[in-house]
Amino acid sequence: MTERSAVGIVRNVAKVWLALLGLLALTVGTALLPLGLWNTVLNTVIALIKVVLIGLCFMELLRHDSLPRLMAVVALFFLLIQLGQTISEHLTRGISTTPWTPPAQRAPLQHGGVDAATPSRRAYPAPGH
Amino acid sequence: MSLTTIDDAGRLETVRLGMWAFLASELMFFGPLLLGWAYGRISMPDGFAWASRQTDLWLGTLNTAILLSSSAAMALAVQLSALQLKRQVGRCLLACAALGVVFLLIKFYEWHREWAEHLFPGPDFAGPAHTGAPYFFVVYFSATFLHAIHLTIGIGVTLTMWRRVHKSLGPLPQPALHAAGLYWHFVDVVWVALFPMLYLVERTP
Repeated sequence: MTERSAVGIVRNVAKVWLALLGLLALTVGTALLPLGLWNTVLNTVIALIKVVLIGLCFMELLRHDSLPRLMAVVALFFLLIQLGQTISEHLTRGISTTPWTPPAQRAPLQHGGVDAATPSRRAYPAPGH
Repeated sequence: MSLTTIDDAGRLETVRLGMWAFLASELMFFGPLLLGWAYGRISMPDGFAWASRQTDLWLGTLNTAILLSSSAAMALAVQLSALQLKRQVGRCLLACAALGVVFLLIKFYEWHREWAEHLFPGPDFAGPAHTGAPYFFVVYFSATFLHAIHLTIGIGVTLTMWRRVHKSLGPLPQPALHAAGLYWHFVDVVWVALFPMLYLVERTP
């Protein structure tokens, strides 16, 4: 880590802080415009830029020690697997479905839960009998 | 003496790596909430849009600005600690914790209002129950409550660090300050993700 002056540190942090507040104003401003799907796209992109700014400038992911960087990337990767696989399964449910077939008609249940269609199944006595 | 020996530098790197491993597991912890939100947003877009419009955009924006500012104060504290500027580091930590407390107070006020407006999911829910709006508020209250717990812990950690800095006679505890800073920034990052998810879903119908 290079030795820096206090003024330099304050100036750098202030720049990032102002950029973050600017991005916040931008995301709220665009959210008030009727842009349809673009609202979601812009919100996501701006949030990602804010996360990257905080990660690089405040969490010091650009320091010379590279293992935390690897840890952050791996964590995001596993989160994306978690989200991606579940959502892709949900979104593709309607693409290839098995045609619906009605269940086989069964006779009504007799007393004691014995199914008339399967007489070989033994009915267990009710508790207390 | 600042980080001039290999031992100190090595210790700082170890603490940073350990903290990142913890934060990676925390991300998995918040993951299901993101997933729950994504499921609802895709399956129940109308309910989510309606429910999101019931949240207070301006209080949410104010709180986001407060948390971003608190992160800046924490970044200042951590980076100034390398220069051993004890008094300035202490002030930044106090400012950070104070901003965290203000955030929580605003959040409590929001919860109170939403409770009074019958937006808490349940039999008295005031919105269109069949559209997924109650489900949005399940995600909303779970996520904001979980975040508030993390922030409360963060405030405690920050105040503990302030006390250590205030009382220390030798060099500042840099590894501990870095760890506290990483935790605080993580809580900020979670809110940066939650803000558009909860407050900015189709503000203009």
